Amino acid sequence: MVVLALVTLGPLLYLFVTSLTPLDLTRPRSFRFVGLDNYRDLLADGRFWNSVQVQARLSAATVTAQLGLGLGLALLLNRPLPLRELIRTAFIVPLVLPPIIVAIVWKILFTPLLTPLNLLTMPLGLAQPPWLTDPDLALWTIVVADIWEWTPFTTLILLAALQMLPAEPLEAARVDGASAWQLFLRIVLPLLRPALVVAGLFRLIDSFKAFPLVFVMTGGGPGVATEPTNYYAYTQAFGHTVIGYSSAMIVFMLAVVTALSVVALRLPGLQPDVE
Amino acid sequence: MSSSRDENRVGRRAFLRTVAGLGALAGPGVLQAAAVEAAAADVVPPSRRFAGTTIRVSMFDTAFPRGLERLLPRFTELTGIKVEFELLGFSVFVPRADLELSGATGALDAMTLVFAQSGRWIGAGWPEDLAPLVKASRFDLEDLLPGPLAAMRRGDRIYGVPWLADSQLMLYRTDLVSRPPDTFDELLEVARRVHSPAVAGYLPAGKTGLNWVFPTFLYGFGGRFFANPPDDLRPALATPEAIQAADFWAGHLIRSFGVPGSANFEDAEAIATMQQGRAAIWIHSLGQLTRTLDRDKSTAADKVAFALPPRGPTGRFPQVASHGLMIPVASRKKEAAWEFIRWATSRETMRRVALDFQHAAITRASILNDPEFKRKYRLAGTDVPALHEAALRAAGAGYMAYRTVPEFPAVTERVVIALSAIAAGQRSARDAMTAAHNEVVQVLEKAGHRVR
Repeated sequence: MVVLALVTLGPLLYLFVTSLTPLDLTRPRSFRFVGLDNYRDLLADGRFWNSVQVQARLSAATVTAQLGLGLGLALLLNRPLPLRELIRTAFIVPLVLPPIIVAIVWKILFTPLLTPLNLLTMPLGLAQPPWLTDPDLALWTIVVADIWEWTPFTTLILLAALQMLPAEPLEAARVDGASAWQLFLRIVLPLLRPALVVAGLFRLIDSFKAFPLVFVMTGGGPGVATEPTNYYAYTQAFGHTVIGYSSAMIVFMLAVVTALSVVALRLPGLQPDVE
Repeated sequence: MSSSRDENRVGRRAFLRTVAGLGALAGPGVLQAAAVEAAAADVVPPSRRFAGTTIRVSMFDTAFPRGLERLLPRFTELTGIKVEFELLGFSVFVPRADLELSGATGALDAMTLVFAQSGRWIGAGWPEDLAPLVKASRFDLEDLLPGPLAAMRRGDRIYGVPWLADSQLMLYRTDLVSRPPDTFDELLEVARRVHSPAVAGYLPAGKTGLNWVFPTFLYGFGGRFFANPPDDLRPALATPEAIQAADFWAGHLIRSFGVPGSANFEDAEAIATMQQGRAAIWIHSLGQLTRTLDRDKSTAADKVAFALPPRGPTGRFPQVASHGLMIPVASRKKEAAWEFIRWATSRETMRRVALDFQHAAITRASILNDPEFKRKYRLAGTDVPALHEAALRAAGAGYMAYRTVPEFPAVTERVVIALSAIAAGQRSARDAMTAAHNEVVQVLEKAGHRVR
């Protein structure tokens, strides 16, 4: 038990203690207690608040799209289709690829001079926009890559839940003359709610870890347009060895993710609710 | 303005020695004298004392380490030392090196000492003092160009052996540009004239270029990073000159005529772009530009030439940099690592790499005078060694001082963010540079400098 607590909580405790120091690896004797100075600096740091906004937009867009698309694909794959097993396997491929490979593939696809999309657009005399360096487009390129990578995950969870749905309520509703849309809205969706919450929660927590996509595709740019909090913390910790300040950012992130998880797990939707 | 962190700074004397050294490089007499001295040096031959040892070496990717990698079997044959050699992109190398050095992991035995990081790393006590090893092996130090070497010395201590005395030049496509632009205005005009969807007017050199090429324009418009480094570090990023430079370079040249998306490029992507003939003009370091001449990979190898970067209203300010090889203090195989460094930076190895591969930015005076070297680097009618020498001579005036400030990497990160936002049309030059200025003030104050 003690070992488990040390292994689990030890690094977190060290992170928190470090966040109360101005630790900079290039400066000797900088591991000293300065109270909440780093947190006060965070509150006044515009770049930090920008990173929080970027993270919020990234998480909201990717989780919503992955749940919506995942549900649609799960419903599709739950029907008898020709080559269904093959299609299911193909859908899983993005999920098993290392994230860094996904990031490189999408970086190439979104780089105007390299993308094979040019084969389609060049003959039409159309130039690619600078997807990765346009502040209005760059974050959406990461969103697209993240959706491509992780929608199979929500699809798999929801497909498994669909296949475990009890047949009786659906048959009873059909006998009562319910339409397909009514069946979905009144029976399937309420029964899927716990699976949707779990899938959404997993993806929400994971969306805070979209680091490889940001690192490879945009490096947080242009400017800081695609710099989420974990990337900002990374640049400070590993670009400038400002470990204390960076730790404060990570403690903040940890608190937000924990709070979101607690709230999500207490949602009433975790219990199926069929009228 | 004074600093409370004198121990981490390049002293004025050390700095003056560096820039004076760069300037002194110009005279052929100096070169000849150095070459003669080098030839007379009684260098201890490679030792087999460490045969069977394996060392780990990490460098960022340029022409020299690529050539070195090909010659490694020769080193192993001479010394019996095996080398695990890794080449990384610059933007990956620096944070990784920071982590290895600060963690004192001992995982690396020799690695690149990066010019822009040298103030931080030496100040933090991370590189080993090589002076005793230099002395014991009677290493031929005299033949090394004095400027690059001085950047790695502090008093009698030597923290790195330079393998690159890089100068910033301009590469241009001779099939598109008849005469290289000599001024900023001409550069803009040429870029405008040749720019097309297939070939961009200008390649801004990727992520690293944002902090490596911008200073040429900043100083050319009369601006600067700091009031008077290393003594007066008050930032000067919100001055009219700095704003004008950022607006011209990022807001006009890159935004209108740059390779689309190139502000996000790693060096490898920028090199590939030029090799594929997708840009007309590229200002970067000689070590990277020469990669365009690789006939195996480049379709543009036979239609490029070199020139000095253009000048602005206040003059021409080609940037110079010097990277070296160092031994981390945590290495447990320092003597074997030194065998590698003295082989890699020896006259023979450096000359071999320069002649067999594309590494013109050499650090040994005797090679600069070598007729075979001069012949090889006379490219498209351009005397590249002469341009290289002219750029190094220009830097002798001292404008590179900003790069030896230990906080410069943190400062330049803020400037790069500003330039990236300007190039993307996200912010005006005035807004972005003023914001960068204010952030830099905070960075410097946190580091203990009084800059208001």
